[in-house]
Amino acid sequence: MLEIFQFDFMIRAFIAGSVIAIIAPLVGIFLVVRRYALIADTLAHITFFGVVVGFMSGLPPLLTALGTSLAAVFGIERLRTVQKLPSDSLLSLFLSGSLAIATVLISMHRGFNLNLFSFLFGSITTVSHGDIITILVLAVFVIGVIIAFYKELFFISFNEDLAQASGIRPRSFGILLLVLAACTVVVSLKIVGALLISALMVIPVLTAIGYGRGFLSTTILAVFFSLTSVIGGIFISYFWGLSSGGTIVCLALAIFVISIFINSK
Amino acid sequence: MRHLVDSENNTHISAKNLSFYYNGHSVLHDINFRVKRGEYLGIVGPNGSGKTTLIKIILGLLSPKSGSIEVMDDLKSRIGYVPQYISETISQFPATVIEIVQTGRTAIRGILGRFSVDDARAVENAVQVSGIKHLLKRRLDELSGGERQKVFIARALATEPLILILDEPDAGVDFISQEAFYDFVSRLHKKLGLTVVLVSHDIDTVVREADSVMCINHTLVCYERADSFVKEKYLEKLRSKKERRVPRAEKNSHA
Repeated sequence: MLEIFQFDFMIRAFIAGSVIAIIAPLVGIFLVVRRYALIADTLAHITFFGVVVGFMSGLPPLLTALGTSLAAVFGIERLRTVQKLPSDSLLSLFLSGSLAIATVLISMHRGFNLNLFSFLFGSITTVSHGDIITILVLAVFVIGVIIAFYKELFFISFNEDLAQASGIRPRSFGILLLVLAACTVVVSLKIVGALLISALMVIPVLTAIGYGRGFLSTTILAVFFSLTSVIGGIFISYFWGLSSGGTIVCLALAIFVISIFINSK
Repeated sequence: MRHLVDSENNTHISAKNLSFYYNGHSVLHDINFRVKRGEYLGIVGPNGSGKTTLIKIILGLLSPKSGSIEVMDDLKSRIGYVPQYISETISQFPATVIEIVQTGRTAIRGILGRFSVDDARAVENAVQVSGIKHLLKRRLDELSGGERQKVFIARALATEPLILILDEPDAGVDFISQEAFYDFVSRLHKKLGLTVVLVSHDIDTVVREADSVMCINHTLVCYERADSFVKEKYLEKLRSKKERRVPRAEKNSHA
C-alpha cells in the first residue's frame, strides 16, 4: 500500500490534498452557519471560467482563476448592496453566466478540452511543483486571516445586527470571508475539481455540526472529517483508478450518512 | 444626525423631532423623548409601529432622516443590546454558551486584540450576575427559551454596559420563564443602576416593569410615568391616531 509514496506526483497530491482538507472546512463553517453555502458553488463555476481564460491567454490557470473569482466576489457584493438585487438570484446569475461564457470559449478553442476536464472533476496526477507553491501560499494566507479575525468572523456569523451594534463592520468581514472562499476554491481546483469543491466545504461541516460541542470543536471535527475524506479518497481513487474529486466527495458523503445514522440512534 | 451627549449631563439618550422614512413611507415622525441615567423606559406600540426602527436609530444602525438622536458620550461600546427574535435565529448554530458570552468583548478587544485579564473578569462577572455558570459548556441550541435569554443578557453585560436595550426579549419564551426573566432584568436595573430600554407590544408587562412608558405608532402617542399610565386612555388615543393619516415623506427618498 505504501508504494503509492514512491511516485512524486502522489506525494504532491497528498500535500495539496491535506492542505485543501484543512482550509475547505475552515472557510466552509462560516459559510454554512451564515446560510451562504451556495456561494462556494458559484465561485467554483467562476473559477472554471477563469481556468478557461488562463488556457486561452497562456497565463497560469490558477492565477487567472483567482483573478476572476476575486473580481466576481466584489461584483456580487456591489450588485447586492448598491443595486439592491437579491443574493440568491445574483448567485444564480454569476453561476450560470460564467459557465455559459466558459462553454462558448471552449467551443471556440477545441484544443484543450482534455486538460479542462481535470479542472472540472479533479485529477491528482496533474498537480505540479508550481501548483504546490501556489496552493501553500494561498493556504497560509487563508489560515492566517482566519486566525487573525476569528472572533470577528464568529461574531458576524452569529448575528450581524448585534455585531454591527457593537461596532464591528459586518460588510467588510463578509467580503473578507468571500475572498477566503475564492482562494479556497482556487486552491482546490486540481485535486477536487470545480464542480465538487463546494461539497468539501459543506459536507464535513454538516457532519461535524451534529457532534461538535462548540464552534471551535465543530471546526476541528470538520477538519478531521475532511482530512479523512481527502486522504482516504486519494488512496481509493489511486488503487481503483477512479476520479479523485468524485471519490473524495463520495467518501465525505458516506461519512455524513453514517453520522446521521449514529446520531439518530 | 447622531450626536454625543456629555456624560456629566444626567441624560443618557435624547431624541429631538426625530423622523425616519423608508421608500417614501413615514416609519417615525417627529419623535421627542429623553432617557435619564438609571431610568427604566418601556416602549410599546402595535406590530410595525416603528419600535425596532427607533432602537436601530439609537444603536446607530440607521440614521434619522431629520431631527436628531443624542446618546451619552462613549456610549457605542457601553450599550448592551438583545435584538428581536435572536433566539429563533440560532437553531443549529454550533456554539457553546461561553463562546457567545465572550462575543460581548469582541469589539472592546479590537482587531487582533487578545483576550485580556480585564476581558476574563468582565465575562466572569456577567456570568455570575446572570446565574448561568452551570450552562457555560452547553450548546446554545440545546437550551430553553428562558435560558437562552439569560445567555443573551449575560453577553450584553459582558460589554460592561451603562444601557441595556431589550427588543421584544420575551418572544418565544413561555409565561413562567417570562416572569422570571423580567424579575431578573429588574434586579439588574436596581443592583447595577443600569438604564434599561425595553421594547414590547405587551402593554401590561411594560407598565408593570418600567418607570416610564412611551407609546409609539409611527408618531408619539403618549409618554408618561408608568404609575400614572392608563391603558384604556392609550388604546383610545391609538384608535383615534389610526383614523388620522401618518404624514407621507418626500417622494424618491430611500432608507
